[in-house]
Amino acid sequence: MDSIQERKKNRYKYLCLGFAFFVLILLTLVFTVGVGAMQIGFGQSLYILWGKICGSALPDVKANAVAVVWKIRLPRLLCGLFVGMGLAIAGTIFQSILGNPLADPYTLGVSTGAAFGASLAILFNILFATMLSTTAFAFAFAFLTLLLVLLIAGRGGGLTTGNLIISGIIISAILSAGISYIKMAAGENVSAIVFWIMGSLVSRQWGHVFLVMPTVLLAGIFAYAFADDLNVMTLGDEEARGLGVNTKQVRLLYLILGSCLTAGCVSVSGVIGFVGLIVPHLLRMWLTADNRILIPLSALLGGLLLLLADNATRLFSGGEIPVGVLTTLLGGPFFLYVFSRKPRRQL
Amino acid sequence: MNETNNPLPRLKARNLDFYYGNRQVLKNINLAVYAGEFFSLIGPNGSGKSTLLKILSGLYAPRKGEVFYENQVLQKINARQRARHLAIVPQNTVQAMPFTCLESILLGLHPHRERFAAISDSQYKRVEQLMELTGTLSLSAQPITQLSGGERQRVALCRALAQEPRVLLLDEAMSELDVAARMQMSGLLKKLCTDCGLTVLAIYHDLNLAYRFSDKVLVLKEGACVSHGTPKTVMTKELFRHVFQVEAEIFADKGFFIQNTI
Repeated sequence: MDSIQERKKNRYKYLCLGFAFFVLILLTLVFTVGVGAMQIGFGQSLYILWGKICGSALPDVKANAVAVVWKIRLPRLLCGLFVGMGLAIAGTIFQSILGNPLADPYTLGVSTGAAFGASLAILFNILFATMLSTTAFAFAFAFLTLLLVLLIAGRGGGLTTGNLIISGIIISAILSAGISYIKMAAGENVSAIVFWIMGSLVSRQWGHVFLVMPTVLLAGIFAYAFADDLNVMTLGDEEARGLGVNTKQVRLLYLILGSCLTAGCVSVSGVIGFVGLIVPHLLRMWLTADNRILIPLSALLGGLLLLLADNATRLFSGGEIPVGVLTTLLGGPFFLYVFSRKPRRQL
Repeated sequence: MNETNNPLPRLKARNLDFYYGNRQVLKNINLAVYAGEFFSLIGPNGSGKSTLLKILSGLYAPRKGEVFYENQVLQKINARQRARHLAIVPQNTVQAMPFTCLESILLGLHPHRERFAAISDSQYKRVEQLMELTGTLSLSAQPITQLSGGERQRVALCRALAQEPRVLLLDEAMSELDVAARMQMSGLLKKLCTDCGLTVLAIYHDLNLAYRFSDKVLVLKEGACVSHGTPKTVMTKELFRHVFQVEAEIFADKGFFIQNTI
């Protein structure tokens, strides 16, 4: 049959597309790691990267060039890459599990939890001169928020889509009020909190990479491994159970995976909008709804996009626009354009 | 019908009771369905048909009594194993994600696929045949979100058949099909019963179709079985009056005509 032949051909096409994204990511990384206030040639950046990866001493390169490439730019770029990947995977997961193509990683309030935790840490650091880690606080509070949302949704008659979204909204609203209170308490130091929440990748270090990278890779592998079950779940609980899927377990698994991804990303970068909504949504509209394909492709495209967006803020705006603002500023109108061109019923 | 050459019922229910909270919705239901049999559940709204079907498909556990698939207790068979033998088609299937019809139907292979395994050529071929039989081949590349209710029900039936079930449970699964499509689909299922030994257990919206295609019917009223047997012996004027509160005229072998409510 034609459509079967086409499906087989398409699979091959998706593989090529994925490979292309991957190559573009590598090229972007290598090309842009040398660009910035201190210009380092392409050949030399490649030489530094290669030397560092192989563990050689690099005696013939200036020490500050090595430091800029390896200690300042590469971790920041890698953070952008993995945060983009994580948000896009989380978006794919939440859209499928909530059966709503307009859900995103922040729908369940996990990001508000992270923002609350980070604000709290910043406030304490200001008031009591402590050295609390905003990242650790953000991660912990994101996780607490997830637990709370699950608990409340579960008490209200099971982890149904409606229950989850409503509990998410409620918790989110309460935490938002909490954040406002903290901002007020911070007085004139409020800008630190505001900037954190806007989402930025400025001066992220290897420590951040080592938090977000394993989270994204591990959760991504799990999400990919159970993608067929996730596909079946989109048929609704009754049919999914009829097809032998343990819907409760699979839903819980994906809620935890999606929330871990979101928590990992938000605690490293703050709240970066639109990547997690737009990337899976567009790929689903243009290519397929099959999560087996959507999860890896979303991850690669999400990573690539945030990498490019962060480079844009870094190189063209003098680092003044936080990348979270840029993604929403550019992503919003672009989404509007796509939305107005497509027949609505596709959504 | 095949009781003589195969005395073991494919699906058997013994003394089923079921409650929603304190409200009893099924009272002491007993039934046996054999290989190759087309079995219909009929009864007015709220008589417990859907609940019974969910128990028979293993989705709900009965409060009392047991369901046997061949000679195993249905609740003790693991879900994946069960899905290789029993397929369920609910009345409303809404898939919010824009899968194509082909991809949606391929989900029916899920219980037969190992994780990461690609779909084999023989599986594709069988799905293609089923799509031809169910009239979904021409919809193949269309997103499921753009289909009409009737088309979605065809896809759902096709997906259930792709599951290679030995028992197919239908919960008013043809309610949105037009008259011709219902006849054709019921005929197809009947043929699969006689030719391949499929067992169909269906809740029928359309009593004429139940009359025409069923080997046996079971009539439920207020959660209890009021009658049970071949359509000709069960679906009588008295039954229509007593259970459905209508006056009906019966034309032997052809069906009946509802004249009036009582």
